[in-house]
Amino acid sequence: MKGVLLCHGKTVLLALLLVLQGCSSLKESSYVPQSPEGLSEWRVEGKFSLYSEGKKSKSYFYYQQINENYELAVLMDEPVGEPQAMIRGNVFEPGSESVDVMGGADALSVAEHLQSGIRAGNLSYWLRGLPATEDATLYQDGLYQVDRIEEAGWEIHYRDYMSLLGGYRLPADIKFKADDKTLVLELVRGDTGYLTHPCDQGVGEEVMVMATDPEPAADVVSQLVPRNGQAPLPRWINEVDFCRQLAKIHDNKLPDTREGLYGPDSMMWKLDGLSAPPAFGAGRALLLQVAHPWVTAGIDQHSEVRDDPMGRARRTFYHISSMVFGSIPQAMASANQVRDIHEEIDGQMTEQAGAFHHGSEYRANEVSAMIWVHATLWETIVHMYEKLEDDLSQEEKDQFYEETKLFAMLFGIPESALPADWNEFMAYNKAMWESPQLTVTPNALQLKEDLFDPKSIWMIAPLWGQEIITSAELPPRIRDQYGMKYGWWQKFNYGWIRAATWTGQVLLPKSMEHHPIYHEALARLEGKRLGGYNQWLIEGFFDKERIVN
Amino acid sequence: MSRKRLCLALGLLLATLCPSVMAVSGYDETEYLKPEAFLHKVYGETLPGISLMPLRGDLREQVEAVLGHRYRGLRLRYWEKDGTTAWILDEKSKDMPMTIGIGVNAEGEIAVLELLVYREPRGEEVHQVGFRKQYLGMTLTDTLGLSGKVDGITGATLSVDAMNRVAAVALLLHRAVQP
Repeated sequence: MKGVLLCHGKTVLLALLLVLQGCSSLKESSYVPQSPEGLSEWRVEGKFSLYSEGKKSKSYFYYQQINENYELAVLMDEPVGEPQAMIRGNVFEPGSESVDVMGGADALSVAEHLQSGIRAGNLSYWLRGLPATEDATLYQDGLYQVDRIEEAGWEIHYRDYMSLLGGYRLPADIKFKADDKTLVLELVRGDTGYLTHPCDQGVGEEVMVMATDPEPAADVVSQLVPRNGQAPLPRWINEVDFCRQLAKIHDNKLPDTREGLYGPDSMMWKLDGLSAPPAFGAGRALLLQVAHPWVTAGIDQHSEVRDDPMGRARRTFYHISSMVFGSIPQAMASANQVRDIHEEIDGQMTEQAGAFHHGSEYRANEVSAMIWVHATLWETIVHMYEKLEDDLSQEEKDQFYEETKLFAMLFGIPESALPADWNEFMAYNKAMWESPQLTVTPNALQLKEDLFDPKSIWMIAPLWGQEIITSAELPPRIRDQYGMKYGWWQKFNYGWIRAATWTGQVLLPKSMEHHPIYHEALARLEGKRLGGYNQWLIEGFFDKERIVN
Repeated sequence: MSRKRLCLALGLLLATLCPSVMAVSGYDETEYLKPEAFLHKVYGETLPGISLMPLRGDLREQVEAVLGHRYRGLRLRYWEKDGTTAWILDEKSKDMPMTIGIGVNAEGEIAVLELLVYREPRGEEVHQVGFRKQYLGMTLTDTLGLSGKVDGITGATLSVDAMNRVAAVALLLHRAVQP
């Protein structure tokens, strides 16, 4: 036994993970889904097999509905690609259906077979597990999760469901049976909104067109970090600003909406897709954020961090992951959700805190505060990547920084408010580290204590390690304000933690260098489900069936 | 330590860490009442079948005016028997929707109002009976508002506003399906 373990370490490790995967407690928690009747912009993707009239047709497809209009795209043998045939119509006007063929005789044959076999307009409802008419007979467990629908001569069996963004559960495996025909649909993924509109703040296009970005300041760093030590002038981000920034990157303005803001060739995915740098930098980024008194005040007065630190951390990682690795609709959904949450965070400073006066107003949706939170993420990831992986060239840093500007726009931050390039960005970070804008208040100290306080025996070692890493990597002034030590004992421990990490990276399978969300994003690009231990890890840590697929 | 043993140790560490994380649900959600139970409160033992109503034209405009935002769905599912209608509607309070069930009697008054699902970490006081009772007997005014005043709840303003909107929409929809 010992010999087997020693000789096949990687295999044993994977087997162990696969065994754990089978444990039902590691599945996403059950929840009450939102009504799919409330979807007016949605899309599902998968493949179908149709048997009728003695003929069999198979193809990948997507079905998309924008308000009353639907599109059933026949993709033939490619799960992701240009439609080879398209069936279009209006759900309220059955006679409106048309077929366009782009892919030759085979595509035409499949499209005609499909159109003769089933009414594509009804799929608008059946694909969501809904009756198309009042004449349907429903057999169901919950209100929005049917087991079977009998309608229009079909017996429709819903064999599996998939969780989608926004708390929806749509069918994943459907079998249609009629007297002389069978249709099987296997769905892989779907989008539940933001296909045509970047934001749901009700801002009209004409209003957005009239507004313009502010001119960049002559010295952006001094604007953000005034040399006299005062707080910068507040610049609130309103709904128009927010929607205008989102509109710049929505609606096919980027090369591929499926790839999202970045894609596998980006510096963002290269740096952020690895497991170790984000994990090592999490504490550093968080404590740098919390050193901003507005952030601490917002958390103290509005957040449930103290009651539910794990839940809060998961929601934060969820939205960041969705913006970085998600498709454009997924990134837009998270941007809107975060905007809604931030919109409720405002108040007055209850104490004098560095550059911020007692009684002064704060809001989450403010440009300078947002830029600081944004900066901590990207400066930290580059810092940790260079510490753990490799040095980056100036060109790579400049490219990465340009990419981060898209992320800033998801919060309504205009490009003109940001430092122009990587060097200016680093000058801004260094100025902030020495500025009274970063002042560790008693509340921030308490948050730090809460962060590193293990709530269970299993968290003692990880949080002890995270505290050592954070001590080592924080700028000295901020570390001192938090009262964190970095003496010989911490240096010794940090040394072996890094050594163990490097060793682990050598020993573990190459695929484990990247975290599960990166793999899930790759699966989306290939039109596949994730599966395997990466799926298990996502459900385990996020309690979500999917994040970016 | 050999690389094989280290590999195993890391795997075991991962396996032991996960259960502590997984003990916490990723959903802030409370289900107060199942839809079937709500419908039984409205109709008693025998439930009517589902009715479907496309939401288009003037009615959609009126619904969106009452909600103060775009309504995403294209049709509504409701139940109707002897002039009494029942509606189950989702409406966002902060960043996630709550699900509300409203029964409107033949006289056009709110007869039942139940919070079925609440999906936010705060503001769920709107499920309290004393608060929900305020809506009973209310009708729709000519300006598409509620006929009575609803006393709010400190700390649950967004949820109260959302419930007010949904109550008015249910009354509007009830009026729309009357012969």
